Amino acid sequence: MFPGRTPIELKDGEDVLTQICRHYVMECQCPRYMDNPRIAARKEYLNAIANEYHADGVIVQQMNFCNFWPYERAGMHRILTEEYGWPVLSVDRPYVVGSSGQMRTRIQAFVESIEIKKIQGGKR
Amino acid sequence: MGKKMNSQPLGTFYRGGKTKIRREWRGLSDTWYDYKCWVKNWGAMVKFLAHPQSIKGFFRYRWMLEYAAAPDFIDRCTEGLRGTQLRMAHTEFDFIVTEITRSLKLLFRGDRNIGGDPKLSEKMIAFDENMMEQIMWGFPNLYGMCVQLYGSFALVALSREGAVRYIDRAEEFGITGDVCTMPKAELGLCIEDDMPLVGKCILHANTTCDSSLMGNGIEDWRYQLPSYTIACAERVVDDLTREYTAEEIRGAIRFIEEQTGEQWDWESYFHNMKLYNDETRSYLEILELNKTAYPQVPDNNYNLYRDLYYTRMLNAPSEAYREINRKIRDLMYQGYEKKALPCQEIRHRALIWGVQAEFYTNFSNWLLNCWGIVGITHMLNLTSTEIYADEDTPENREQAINDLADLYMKMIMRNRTEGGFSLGVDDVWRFCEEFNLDMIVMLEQMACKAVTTWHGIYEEEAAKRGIHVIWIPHALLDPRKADRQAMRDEVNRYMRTVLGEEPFDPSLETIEDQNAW
Repeated sequence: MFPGRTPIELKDGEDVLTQICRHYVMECQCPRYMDNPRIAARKEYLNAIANEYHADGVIVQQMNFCNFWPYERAGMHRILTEEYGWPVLSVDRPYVVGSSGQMRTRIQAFVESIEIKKIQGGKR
Repeated sequence: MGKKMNSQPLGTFYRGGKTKIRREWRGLSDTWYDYKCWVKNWGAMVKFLAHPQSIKGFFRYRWMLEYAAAPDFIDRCTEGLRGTQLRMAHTEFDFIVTEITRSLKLLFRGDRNIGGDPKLSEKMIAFDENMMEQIMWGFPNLYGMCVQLYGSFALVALSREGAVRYIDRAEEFGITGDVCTMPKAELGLCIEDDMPLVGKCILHANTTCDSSLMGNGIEDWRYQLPSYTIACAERVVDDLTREYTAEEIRGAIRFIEEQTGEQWDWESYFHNMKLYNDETRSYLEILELNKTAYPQVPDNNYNLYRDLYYTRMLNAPSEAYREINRKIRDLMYQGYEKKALPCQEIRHRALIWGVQAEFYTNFSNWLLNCWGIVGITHMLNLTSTEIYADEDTPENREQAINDLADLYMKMIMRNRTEGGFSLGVDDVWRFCEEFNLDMIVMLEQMACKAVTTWHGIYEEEAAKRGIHVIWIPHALLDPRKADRQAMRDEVNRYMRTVLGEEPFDPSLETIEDQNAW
């Protein structure tokens, strides 16, 4: 189940609101959950899910003007590339539609680079 | 040129294609005093280098060369001052030079990057830049070493371009341009491997802000040392948040004990807290005097010193701070009796609010000398003035953890920028009334999302109260985005067009900065 899509299972004997809050705090993968174990766990999770879905590459993206996200993205890019060997496209984007052309170009280039690597028989 | 303030056009020192054409003449007595301090500071720097580890550190870390700017930095920060004002400024800045050289020497002695003593290194705990060091009061046999301080923040105080390289490196690494330059510089320092490597473990905090904390995650990946983060609550006015932070403090103490084998020492803690409370009482006296028509310890000289003694970032012994505070207090009262002023005439009493960029810019001192705007107090000084429990009793031992939590939540910069509306906005007007201020110099750090969101509210509320607000844009550790002259121009424009005033010293309105540090 993807983060944010897991069911909230309520148990008897505890206040409902507390259980819901706990679920949101523990299940959320937003970069604002920034203790080191959670940061490391997100990268492991991403590697696991990319393997599960037989991904050819990973796109890590970040919305501009969020202070947590660029650090998450920069670290994620490095770790996925250097430790797990994934081809990674790392993009930051504004929260507007106007930059869709630029985004399309970057993703096209990324997909082409993965295809070229496959044609050349290169490892991931 | 001579004994009186503003008796010489200070801006003329910066012409002629040099950093400065000469040092200031202040009349015989003040010049002789200033010269002795200048020699003493050079002596402290030479003494620092007279140690093999210091020389190794000098050649290993590129930022070390920028420390040659220290005497020039002090000259800029004491520019135009006379009498007790000059002596207070030197007492504070010379102390900073002495303590930085002492703590840097200690750091290099334990630095594994330059073959430091491994046994000494094991007694050290690497601290994150804005991590307050009071937790080390309970571990008198250990050293809390702020490894990021010397290569980023302290450096930029001396030399405006000190951190530019590291900011660029962090941006090449993938951190976007809109993020605050302070954590970016710290991260860049780590990426460039320009940070001393000491200690068995690292202690982080989520201060100043969450950007710092996120950068720490990447730094931990690089250094692979056990680390603990004191994640302080931000809303410091809520008692519940103190309980939460107290748990974090307990966790940090346990972590240090487990990693180092040392045990928490209550006697040492309460001894240091007693001295710290004395310092707080001194500071309250300073604030009281600053409310009068003859403020003696304005922001320009006190700010940096207060930063350091409030946070204890240089791990100087508490007794050292007590001695300095005593000297400042004595000079303060001497000046007050003589009705000495920090500048020729106090035209405006200002609150300097916002995140600072004024150390390398020498901004507060420039405001005094050019326009007679006295920074009576500064947002960064308006931190905790609580008197904490300092007697060793069973009840106080429990209270002490809450006190540490309170202190850590009220870390400099953070308590006002992140602490909520009442601390970041409402308190501004309270201080204006309390200190009888007619102006706010608003240092608007472009990338600080916390404070910039309140821009409109500050404008509206200031207009209702008839308080002048001068907005000074800057980018903290990156002088390229808003340089010194841009900051000065904002003031110059406001003073001339809105207030219709003329400067005391027109030569200071536009200064040639291209050769400056």
